[in-house]
Amino acid sequence: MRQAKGDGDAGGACEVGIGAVARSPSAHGQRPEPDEEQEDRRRAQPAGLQPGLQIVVVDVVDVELGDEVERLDGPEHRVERTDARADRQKLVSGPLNVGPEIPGTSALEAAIPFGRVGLMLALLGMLFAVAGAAVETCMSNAYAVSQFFGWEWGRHAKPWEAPRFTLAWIAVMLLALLIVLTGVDVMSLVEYAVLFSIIVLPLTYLPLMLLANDKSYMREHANKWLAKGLGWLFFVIVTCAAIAAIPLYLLTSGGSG
Amino acid sequence: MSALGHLKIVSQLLDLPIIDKDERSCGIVDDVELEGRPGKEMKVAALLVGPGAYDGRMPAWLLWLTRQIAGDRMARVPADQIDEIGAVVKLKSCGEDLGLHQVEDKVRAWIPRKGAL
Repeated sequence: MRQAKGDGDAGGACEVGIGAVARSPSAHGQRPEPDEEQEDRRRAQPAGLQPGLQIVVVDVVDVELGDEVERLDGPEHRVERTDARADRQKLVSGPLNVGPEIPGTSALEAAIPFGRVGLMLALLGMLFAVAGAAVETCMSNAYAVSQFFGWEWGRHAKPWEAPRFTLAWIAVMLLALLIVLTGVDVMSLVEYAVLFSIIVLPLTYLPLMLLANDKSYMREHANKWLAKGLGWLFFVIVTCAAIAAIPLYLLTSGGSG
Repeated sequence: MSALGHLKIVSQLLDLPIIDKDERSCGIVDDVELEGRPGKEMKVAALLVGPGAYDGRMPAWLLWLTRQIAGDRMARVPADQIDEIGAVVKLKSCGEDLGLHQVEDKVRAWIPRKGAL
């Protein structure tokens, strides 16, 4: 049996209880006797851990393949098992579906040294970062649509001064919400989005380059021979990347090897 | 660039944003109306703006879909209302006078006029 870190002091100090039992069936044979199991639970219970509110974090450091981790998260001693085959260093936590595959879990890192204040600050930071990115993305889409159709647009315009622009970014936000609510794997979606952005890159790059090379539009600011040469070189590179994107994605199973 | 000078219609006029005299966006040049005869001098008679001018610029199924969503309204901007053609087309008059802000005004009615920063 291996005891996870923070078995005692850390849990009591910052109300983030840390405790675990990792058991190797090969070392202990089958499941332990009830007395031994109760003893394990007693030792795994961090000092000062209160029911319901704390997050139980288990850091399994040297679990052998096939080991099992028991998680204890309250006086009721609800036990869940997590197979540790997938990852030797696996974070198993909390009664509220907190796991390493969820980006928000990284906010718990701030709770270990700084307690509840650290956790709140980290969560606030993540909220502002994600919300800012969401607003920026919605605006970006609305800019593109509005400029394409020649609508009034602009961040500094009041909503009723650029009504179709306003409706456009609201529509994009609702559409994004609907996509997320379908339960689709967001990271896979991002990978596909990046893939298709590479595919269309030559099509967006070429008009801009031709425009930058055109003296009738750019006059004295038009690209000179060096900029033109580099521009065409980059165009060849992005075209090669666009052609190779889908085969590479398929051959590497989406980059996972 | 002069509004009445020689120009390449496809590369120097089609799809350019239109700005009225109050610097408001009024859509883009979706099509142009020409006057003249083959072999004779051709002149731009008007700019056509709106989904009704998309005919011939997109596949039939996409045109049908666009008409279902956006209708087939089309505004006509006479050539004498063009002030300048450059990176944008500048007009001499207001967009409202030429029927260019109809949809914008309809949508504006839905937006509450409060709460903006």
